Amino acid sequence: MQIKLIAAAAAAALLLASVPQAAQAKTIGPTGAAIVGGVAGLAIGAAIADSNRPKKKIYYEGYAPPYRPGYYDPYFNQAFAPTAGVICYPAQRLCYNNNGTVANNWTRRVYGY
Amino acid sequence: MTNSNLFRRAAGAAVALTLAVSAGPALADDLRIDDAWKAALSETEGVLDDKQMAMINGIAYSAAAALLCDGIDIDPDKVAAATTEILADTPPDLTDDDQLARYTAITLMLGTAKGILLAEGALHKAEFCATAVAEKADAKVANFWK
Repeated sequence: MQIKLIAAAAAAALLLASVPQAAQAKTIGPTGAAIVGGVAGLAIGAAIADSNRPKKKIYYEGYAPPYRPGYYDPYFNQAFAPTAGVICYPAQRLCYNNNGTVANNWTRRVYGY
Repeated sequence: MTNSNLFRRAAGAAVALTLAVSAGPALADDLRIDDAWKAALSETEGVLDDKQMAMINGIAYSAAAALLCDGIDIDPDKVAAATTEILADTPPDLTDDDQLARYTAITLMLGTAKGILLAEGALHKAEFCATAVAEKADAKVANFWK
């Protein structure tokens, strides 16, 4: 099976190499080009790299860290109850019922979407 | 940041202050998989604002419920509209590489949240699905289901 896959990949690579660039642009498209060109793979690799590696993170406009550097743990454990029987976790932006199930409707109310 | 966002954040902070359970440990009966969420969220803090992250969780939860529970199906049009809203609300002047990095981080975040919520739901499926069915029946709150 592996040999067949490798052969198919090689055939596809040869096919791509033999197609004029203008034709490739028409048949592949920008998403396909990003995949074939390795750009999409690089982005995924960077995104899932272990946390010891420096990462480029795109923050939303106006973001202000809600915790001091090195103090994510206490922030992560913060919780509040918008009503009896429901607990919301600000770091997670998700609420749970006291029986452990997700309180999705309360999450929508609290975070306004 | 818009005025409504400012208001929402201020209101959220006020609720947190007045109704805080404090920075103590999660409740004993809380069935969330804390370490998985912590590992995933610490990596993505700040990429999305509160509302956007809550929407990602909502989509992930809805998708998990659709996979685990009978009688619940995702509405792809609702999910598409919400996802587009999140992806399109980018910080200004991003390069193509930055756009791709942000898009990739968000889609991975969605998949990760869906995976953790699937695991949480599977661990107590009857309660998870009963809650989802009840939430779907609540006509006062919108959802991502058909």
